[in-house]
Amino acid sequence: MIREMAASLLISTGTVSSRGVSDAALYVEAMAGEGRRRLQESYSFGMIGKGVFDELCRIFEDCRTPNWDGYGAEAVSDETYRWAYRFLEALPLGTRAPSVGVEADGHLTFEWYRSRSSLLSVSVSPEGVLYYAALLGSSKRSGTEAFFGEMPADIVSIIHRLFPS
Amino acid sequence: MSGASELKIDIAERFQHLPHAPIVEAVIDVRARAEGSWEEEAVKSQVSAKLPNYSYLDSQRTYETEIKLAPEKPEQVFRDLGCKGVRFRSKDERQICQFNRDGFVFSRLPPYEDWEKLYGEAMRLWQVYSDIARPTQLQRLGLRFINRIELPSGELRYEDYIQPAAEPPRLLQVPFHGFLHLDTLAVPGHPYVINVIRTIQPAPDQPLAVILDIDVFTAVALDLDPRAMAQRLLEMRWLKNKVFFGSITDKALAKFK
Repeated sequence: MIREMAASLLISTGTVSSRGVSDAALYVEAMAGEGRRRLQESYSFGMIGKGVFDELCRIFEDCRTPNWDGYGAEAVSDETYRWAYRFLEALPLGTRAPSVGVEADGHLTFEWYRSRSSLLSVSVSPEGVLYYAALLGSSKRSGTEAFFGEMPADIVSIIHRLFPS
Repeated sequence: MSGASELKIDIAERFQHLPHAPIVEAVIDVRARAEGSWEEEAVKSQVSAKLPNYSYLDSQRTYETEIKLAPEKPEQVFRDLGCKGVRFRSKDERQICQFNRDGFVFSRLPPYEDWEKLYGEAMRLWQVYSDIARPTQLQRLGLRFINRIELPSGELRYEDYIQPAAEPPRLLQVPFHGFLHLDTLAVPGHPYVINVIRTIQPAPDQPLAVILDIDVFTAVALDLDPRAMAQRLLEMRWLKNKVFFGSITDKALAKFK
């Protein structure tokens, strides 16, 4: 029995394990990470294959010093970049690629755009907090989630709603 | 398919105690951000004062390496991003606790004794963490049991020990060199997810072994209420036991008694 991801994963998605210290725990972590990385490299499933990590890196490089926009914008910090990177890694495999952006307060952003009235924007802070806002036709949704490496279910369900497979 | 009815979790159900359970690590992992300051030396000294039966093991630091590609010569920049947390180990070296900026982890290494001891010690140490870090909310709670089932020398039929076992393709019945099988299970009506990993761990100086890694977790935030935390952990333990006893064969069970 396979239940639809958007309906069944009430909590979150991701492959972050509870953290162990034994040889077996480290072995499992390495094996699972390797398997996931290979899928991430494919164009069909992964954000590496789609070039999103490269885009994130390029934007970070361009905006890591203050006043990168000439209007006094804050620099994108190493912490923000790391959280944004982990955010991309945690997206379910096969997710539509977002466009990457940056805000004047130094937050990195990911946007899934379908039309002017159907879109999702997620902003990543240096503390690893996700601020998201979505337009879904006539309704709006927004929220704040602490991010620990697992993708919040609400964000996944909005992406699925925007781009049903 | 969807629409499964709520799973009934019966925390009163009794499971067999296995004196030779193959548990190589039992983990209780609590993610909760420290609200107070997090200075390595201060945390070390506070934990040392509160836990005389544990000694400092090491500090977990975060590093970053950056390679700048230049026309002449690539430049490598190495940065120490500071202390993520400290680890302490019990005098008998069977228990390790991590006090991290983003949470607390308690690991019990072999021999595993029983749930009451695991839970009791984890909660005692969690209280120490809570006093130091002053988190306001639990963001994630995980209970993970990693089992390592050794295959007797010369016996490579892992399917005699765990079921369902990995199967080669129907049209190519050749032996496995290795496998990694990850199942993610939803728990209808409850805020839990279960990751079950089955894999083979080759080790040069040890018998070949099958790993059965059961990780039950919830990422639904929880207030700092010890009773609510205890209830969640009991439910997660029941789920973990159901997965374990539903994954091993009678032959394996006999080996662990």
